[in-house]
Order: sequence, then C-alpha cells, then structure tokens
Amino acid sequence: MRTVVIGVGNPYRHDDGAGTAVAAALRDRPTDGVAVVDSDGEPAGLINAWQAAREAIVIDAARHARSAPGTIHRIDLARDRLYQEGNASSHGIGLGEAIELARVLRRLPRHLVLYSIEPADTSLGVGLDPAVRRAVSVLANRIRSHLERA
Amino acid sequence: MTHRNTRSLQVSALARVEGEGAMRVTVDDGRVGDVALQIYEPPRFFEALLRGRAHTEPPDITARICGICPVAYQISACHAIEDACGVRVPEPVRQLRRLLYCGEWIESHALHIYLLHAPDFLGYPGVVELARDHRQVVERGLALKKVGNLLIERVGGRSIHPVNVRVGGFYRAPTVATLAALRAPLHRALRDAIATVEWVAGFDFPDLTIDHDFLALSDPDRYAIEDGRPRVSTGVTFPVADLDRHVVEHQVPYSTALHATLDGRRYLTGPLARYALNRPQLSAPALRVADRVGLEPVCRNPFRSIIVRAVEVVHAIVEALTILDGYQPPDPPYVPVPPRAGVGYGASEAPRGSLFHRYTLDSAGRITAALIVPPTAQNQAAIEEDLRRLVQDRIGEPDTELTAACERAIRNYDPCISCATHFLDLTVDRA
Repeated sequence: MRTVVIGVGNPYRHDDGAGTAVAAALRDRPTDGVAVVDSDGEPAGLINAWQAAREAIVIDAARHARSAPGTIHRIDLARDRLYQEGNASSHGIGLGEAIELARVLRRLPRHLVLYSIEPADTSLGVGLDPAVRRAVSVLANRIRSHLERA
Repeated sequence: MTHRNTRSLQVSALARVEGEGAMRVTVDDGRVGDVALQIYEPPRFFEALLRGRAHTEPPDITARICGICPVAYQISACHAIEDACGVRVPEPVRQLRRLLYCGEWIESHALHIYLLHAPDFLGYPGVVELARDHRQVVERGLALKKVGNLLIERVGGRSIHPVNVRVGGFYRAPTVATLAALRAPLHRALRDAIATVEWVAGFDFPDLTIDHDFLALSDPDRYAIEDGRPRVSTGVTFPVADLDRHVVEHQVPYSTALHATLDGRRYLTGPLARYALNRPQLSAPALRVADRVGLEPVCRNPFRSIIVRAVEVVHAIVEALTILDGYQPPDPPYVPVPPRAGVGYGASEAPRGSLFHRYTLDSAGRITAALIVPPTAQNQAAIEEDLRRLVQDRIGEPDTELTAACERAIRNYDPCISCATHFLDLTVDRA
C-alpha cells in the first residue's frame, strides 16, 4: 500500500463528519495504490490503518482559534506538535496522542499529513454546514490531484 | 454517546472530544457537601434521530451515534426490535452474536486496560510515556486489541461500525474457513490475556470500598454477555420488559445528565457487577488466573476493576474459541422480523455495563419513540459517591492532587473515550 487516506469523524454529529465525507468523495473515484478508510479516531485503529503505508493523509474536523467554518488547515507534523507531554487532559486519547504513540512504537509512516476542517456545528444530527460542504469538496479535489501526481 | 460539544486544538488536538467533564465539590468545614459531576449526557436526542425511521434501522444508526461500543448498541437494538415484533432468533444466530460481542469485549477492555487505565497505576501521565519505558507491554496491549478487532471484522464485516448485523441475525454468515483462521491468533491472545491479569494484579491499589448495589444481566447457562435477564445483588431479578418499573432516570438540578436509580437506590453496572453476580460461570482458565492472583470473589474496590476487566478478556477469548469449535454457519443467517405495533425491550452487557434499549413501533414498523439507557448514565450516581468518599478521605490534599485522584476514580469506570478526554475541571469550594 503506497498511500492510505483516513477520514476521521462521526457523520451523525453534523460537521464532525467532514473527514469521513472527504473519504467518501475519494472513494467514489478510486486511485490505484491508495486505500481509503474511515476511522472513529480510536488510536490503536489509526495506528493499524497507517502503519503499513508509506504515506498517510488524515482528515478530521477540528476547532482552531479564530477560524471561520469551512477553513482548511494543513498541519505539518515536522513543524507542529499536536501532543504536549503531560498536558492537562486525562488520557482521552486524540489524534495527537495516537501520532505520538505511533512514533514511540516506530509505527509512523514516512509521511503523515493532516488536514483539518473547521466545523460550524457538531451537535447530534446529519448533514454538513454549507461552508463545510464546500471545504469537503475543495479538499477532496486537492487530495485527489496529489494522489494522481504521486 | 452524547457529549457537550467542545473541541480544542490546544488540549488534545483533533481528538474525538465532545465531552467536557466538570466536577464541583463543595467542602464546608472539612466536610464534603455537594459533588456534582457531568461527564456525559444521556442520548436524549436519539429519539429525534430515530423517530419515523424503519424498525430495521436502529442497529446501524445507534451504533454510529455512539462509535465507542458499536456491537453493544447493535445487539441491544436488535433484541429490542425483535422483542417488539415477537421474534426470537435461533440459537446459532445467538452464538454468532456472542462471538461478535466477545470481539468487542476483548478490544474495548484491552484498550482501557493498556491505553487508559494502566498509566495511572504506574505513574505515567499517559500511554505515550508508558510506551517510552515499556514498549513491549504496550505492544502486547495493542496486539490483544487487534485480535478483538479481527474477530469483529470477520463476523461483523468490518471493525468499526460492523455492517453485517441486522435485526433477525446477520446479512451473511461467515464461512467455517474464515473463522477457523482466527484460532491461532486467539490462542496467542489467550497467553497475552493471562499475562495481562498477572501484570495488573501486581499494581498498587488505593483503598476504597463501595457499597453500591450491583446490576448485571444473568443467564442460567453462561456468563452473560450478549443476552440475559437483569439481576441485582439484592437478590431481585426481573425481565427486561419490567425495566421501567425498576430503573428510574431523574433529572438532577446541577446537570443536564440524568441519574438512574434501581428500586430507588444507587447502583452500579459493569465489570465489578458482572463478576460479583456471575463469577461461578467464568471459564476455567479465567477462574484459575483470578484465583492465582488473589482476586476476591466479590470485588468492591473500583480501582481493582482493572483486574476484573483483564479476567473478562481471558474469559471472552476462551468463549470465542469454544464457539469456534462447534461453528457451523447459521442457515439462514437471519430470520424475518415482520413489523407490528408494540413496545420492545432489549439489553446486553456492553464492556462498560448493561445497555438497555426500548422502542415503540407503529403497525408499519415505524419508530414512534426510543429510549436508550447506557451504562455510563446508570453509573453516574455511583461515581459521584466514590468521588465524595475519596475527597472526604483526602480533604487536606492540595487541589491538583485531589483532581488527579478524582480523575483516576472516574477512569475506574471506563467512561467512553470521548467522555474521558478533556476533563476534569475541578472546583473545590472551601467555604
């Protein structure tokens, strides 16, 4: 497996389904050598999903400070650390901790790119905010172009 | 599960975090007054999502609303719908459901033991730091979990949100060969699981003795997992259909969450309750290792629940192997469940405790009302009582240490990952 694309999220919490919506759009037109999977964000599952790949592209909905709904962020793991040692959270394990755990266990793919889409509404229910829906389509196209070039 | 919606990149980036717990403890003159905890809101909104849907849909919808233990949601939903429609599935289908459920117990317990709970006992802030010093141990936990996932994948079609479950049974029965391939990984997992019990039994456990009533499903023939009849440590037992008469949820003033009582009393569901009520039915390897590490027949220290979870992993693996031994694909893999008007109840033992579903259908099979009583909601009052005692015992400690102790006490109950993240915001009012 050359590349794995992982859409993280829950489509039953409105915009939290942005990551899985991007994955679904990519699945509609598959690319050779690329696996597209959904994830609920559980760390062991994420590690299993990306450990055999050379490149992993992970998409999730996440709130950033001062971002409008639908804003796409590209997080470069070489530069941005998502996990702070002994941070104030309990051990709820998020993507940041999953990545760090994979690093410690030597199960990180060589390239790991993380895209996040700013949600408007993550309450219970289905359907995406219009700005988030546009972002899903933009990001799916961007990732597809990247995959076709690779 | 339903959680308050706050996510922040600063705390735990991009986590599945919809739950922010807040705890308020009032200390007045050296005595603990109010303890108010909110880790989770029972999923009241299910009704809105489910109303008007077909009776065939709850297994898939509820499993996705709560991705934490999808199998539990699917099976409880199937039982409730089948009950409403007056259908009882044949034994081979029940066995296959049980096999699927064993996968969820293995993966969910392994995740909790290794990634969430063990770091507490070994003095690490989290699993990342634990893995730096004990890489092999964490690898063992992940390997165990993977076998659970594999089981869910082979029976359920995929490991997250299994797609093969339907009311009446399964869309397709896995072939004998598909399941036979699980035997070797399960045997390896059994060794890892026994080692896990021995490992966790050696931890240092804080003292805490609880007096909550226990509630768990019980089955005359086996350690109840996917099915059973509610049984209470007081000796009371009742059919699931009498749930509303025994379990009452009520609003508490400080929280949007509801508190459940059982016959008017505080109670606890989950591994401690199951083990206390059903211990004699554990498989021989599980009982042997429990005895060897000195696990008491009724464990009332919630910190020691990690040992009980580990014993349950051993049991689930043995159970899965037993089911594999006699496996013949159920034919047909499902029975028809024609709709009819009525109310149905269903229950099963999610890794965290008893999970009850109730659906009301009209004659076309459309859902007119849904009620879901998840284990975390049932355990909330018991958790608060534990916190009250804990804070009372350590009243002199600084707030930071108290907070850490309270978080540990909450983690004893394995609230789902989403609720366990990003908390606690502890306020101690020292009047």
